[in-house]
Amino acid sequence: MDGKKSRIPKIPFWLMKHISSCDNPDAYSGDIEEEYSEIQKCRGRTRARLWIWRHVILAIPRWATNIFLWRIAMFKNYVKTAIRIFFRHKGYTFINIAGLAIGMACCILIFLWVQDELSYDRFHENAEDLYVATFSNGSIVTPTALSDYLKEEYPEIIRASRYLGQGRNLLKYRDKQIYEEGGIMVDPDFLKMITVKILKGDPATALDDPSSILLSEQVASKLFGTTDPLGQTLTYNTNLDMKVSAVFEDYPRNSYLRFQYIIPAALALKYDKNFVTWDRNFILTFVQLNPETPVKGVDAKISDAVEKHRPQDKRELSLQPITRLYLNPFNHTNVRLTYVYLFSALAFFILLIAGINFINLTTARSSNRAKEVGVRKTVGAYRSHLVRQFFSESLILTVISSGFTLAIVYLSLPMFNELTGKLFTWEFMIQDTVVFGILGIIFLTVIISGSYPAFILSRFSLTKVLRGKLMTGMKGCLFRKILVVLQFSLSILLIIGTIMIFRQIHFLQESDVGYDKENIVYFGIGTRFRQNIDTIKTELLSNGNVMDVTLTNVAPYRWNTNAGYGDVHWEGKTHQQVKMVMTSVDYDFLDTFKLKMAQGRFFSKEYSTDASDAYVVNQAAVKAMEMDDPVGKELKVWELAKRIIGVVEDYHFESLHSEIIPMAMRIEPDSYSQACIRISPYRIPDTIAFIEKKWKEIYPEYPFEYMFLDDAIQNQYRSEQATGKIVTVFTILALFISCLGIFGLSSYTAEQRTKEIGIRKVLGASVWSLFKYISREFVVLVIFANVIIWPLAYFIMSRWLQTFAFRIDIGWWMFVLTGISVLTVSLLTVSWQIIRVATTDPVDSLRYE
Amino acid sequence: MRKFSMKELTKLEELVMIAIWRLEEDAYGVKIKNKVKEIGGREYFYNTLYTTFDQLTRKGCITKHFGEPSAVRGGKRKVYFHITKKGRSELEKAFERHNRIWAGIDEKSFQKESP
Repeated sequence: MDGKKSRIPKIPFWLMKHISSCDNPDAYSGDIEEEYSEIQKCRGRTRARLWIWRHVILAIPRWATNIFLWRIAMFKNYVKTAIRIFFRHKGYTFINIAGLAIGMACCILIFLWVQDELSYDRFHENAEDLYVATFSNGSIVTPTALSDYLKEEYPEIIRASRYLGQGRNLLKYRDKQIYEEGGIMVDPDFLKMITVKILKGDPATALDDPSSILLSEQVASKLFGTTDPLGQTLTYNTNLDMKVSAVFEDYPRNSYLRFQYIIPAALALKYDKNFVTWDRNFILTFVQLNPETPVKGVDAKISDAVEKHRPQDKRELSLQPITRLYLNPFNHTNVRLTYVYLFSALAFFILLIAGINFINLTTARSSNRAKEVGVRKTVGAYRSHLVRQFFSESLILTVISSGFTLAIVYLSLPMFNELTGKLFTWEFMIQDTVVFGILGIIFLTVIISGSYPAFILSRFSLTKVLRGKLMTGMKGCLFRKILVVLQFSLSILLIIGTIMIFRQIHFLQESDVGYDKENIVYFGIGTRFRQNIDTIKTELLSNGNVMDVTLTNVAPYRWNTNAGYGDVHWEGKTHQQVKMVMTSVDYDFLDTFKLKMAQGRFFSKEYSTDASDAYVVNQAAVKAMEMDDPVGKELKVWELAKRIIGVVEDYHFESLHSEIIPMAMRIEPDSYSQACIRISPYRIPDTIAFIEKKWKEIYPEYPFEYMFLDDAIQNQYRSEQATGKIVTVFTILALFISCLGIFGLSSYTAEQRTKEIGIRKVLGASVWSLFKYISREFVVLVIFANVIIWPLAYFIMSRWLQTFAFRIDIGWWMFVLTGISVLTVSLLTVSWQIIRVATTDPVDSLRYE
Repeated sequence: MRKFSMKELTKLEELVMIAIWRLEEDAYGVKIKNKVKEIGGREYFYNTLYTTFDQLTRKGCITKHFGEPSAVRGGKRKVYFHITKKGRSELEKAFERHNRIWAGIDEKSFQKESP
């Protein structure tokens, strides 16, 4: 036998002791030990063990019922007490519920948004195995030959597909014709890789025929109405006949990929023998890995896949998960991910602010509850019971608030959708993750708001409470003050953030882009237009309101995204890589956009060589190539060697997120695809009608669709604008909740000090001096909050601004302005209560004794 | 203290009290359990017994006093139970009720045909 201590197995014995709920636990366990050793002596150890385990198991049902019944009984009492208290202090209850409800509503809305942002491309059945080939500089635009090569050379890659967006194209069926933006050109593997639901037709063969087309439900119904689209032939871009081989369910919105119809890449091969090439980058390459393969190993293997075929391209190739594509797109660095973090933080702050309200109001009024705590303790409540009680109270309040929360969310969903450009519906909220998220938010609220009061209130020492010595010492007050400072710091941070975001957006929209973007109309054109350009130009210019007409190869505000990067050589080249964008323009480009020349001259028809042997570069290019005297030097881009005839002053040809990059312009009539027309600001509708008439003469079969350049540029900053609006709304709400909190606190203070104020008044204090006296406390807190948050705000905002290549300076006035406005708002909030008390007749406040 | 409307003793309570009564000065957990098993014919667990003790204590039918701790009990004290006056009268009532219920019935009654 072992030593005395190990005679009894610990676990069952411990269990035994803890699940029994009798009045004499010691005697009880003593008895068990006694009998256990008796049994062990007579019938052996195993028997004894069996005996004790049987005891344990048989004791469980009674124990469970006991716990349950007593908890329920007590909970009923807690609910009753809580509801009585809520009704007795309607004002505070209202403040608590309003704060919590608004806070949680904000939190839930933001949670919906974040959840949606993170859900992009996760719905694919193979989402974990899908990747997009990415260069080490973040570009996902790859050569057309890559996908076939990857699939053949690397057994780990089981599927691969090219992916090429089609721009705007005309689909025509009998007399119905529509423009569709969302066409893509892919390989047959694509349908097996991503998850797209085919409603009609066979997905396995749908892309086999080069002239087949797959339509989305939406496009099919637009084009065919009630006719069965399957097997019908439609006209693609007026010259190709395509057979509808399948109809797919409208592709989910939460994907980086967007498409309305699919055509096979084989079609491009049929018409362009040089389609598959290593020389140019213009498509995306999607691959699917074998699920058992770790992506790291594949990354290492394929890193030189492009370099092998195109030695001058030193960029390494790697695979980026498809699920990251939306949050981390190639041309912006992590902007969306930043917003996800930003908004999550915002949600948490708002919840925290609302929770602090609850904490402050509860602890501030703790003296009112102290007697209750004392009595409860006297009749035998343990501290744990009191903790449980106060948690129950915050739970009850949170549950009540969450009812209002759901109502607020429901009512504000349409508004929120408009703000964010998402499509949340009420049904969306019944998803598992969302329900768990919401429950999580409620739970978090209970924890935040319930914890501190529960531990503070349950700590009251019995004797002190009942003798009337309450905890009004510095400690409780200090903690409350810290919380108020925290609340206001967060609000101030949010306000400063909002101001910065708006200033920055304003800056982006109003800052000089280097060209005149007002009153420019642009639209896409085709062969017929560009071949007769001279006649058309003359005809258009015959109208007095048409100022200039020019042609170019890409939409004016996004030259960079569509133009490829070329290999660059120049006279006196001393260093290696220069990234250069090549664009095609025509002779009127300079005048139409009102650009300025820095050196040399622009293209002119007077020089016959300009059409074939001339580049105009921008200042950024000159700087990148480190040329002293660029005019007349030879420059070779994409193996095209021409002379530089002039340098144009830098202008922002893409979003102000990015720096101006080197660019070379040339005359290349075959690649013109956009017409840009400067019109006079007068009688714009007439001018547009005139242009449309001309269009109809050239393209009777195509409808005329145009954009204003400044609108298009505005759209570029839509994501910032939306963010700005969302942040503003939530900031205002956060400040509102904070103010609710100090409103509650100040009214409580005023109430507590009614007598003091009465005495002061009797002794001759004026309303104004009383006001100063009481509001000082809050003013100090708000000022303190300002001072401690400013450095942090400065740090965070300067980090955010670094995502912009062109940005505002952070001015000290923003901080001061925020400080003063917050101070004013909070002073106004507290003054209402203070003045109410300060103007009361002292007779009333002192009389009742 | 909570007031209990005095109900009749349950069978188990009766059994436990009689066990305590019979054990006189030696009525503590293990002994009571064995006694109950002996006179009641089946084993009850401590959990059940102690709940009954609590119940009886609250009803005022039994009281307890602490004994000396002993090594065999892991250093825990015994708790001895005694029948109080009230307990005695309750037992008496139970006895009377028992007699009333069974009046006129003896062993022979069971050998006859069922009524």
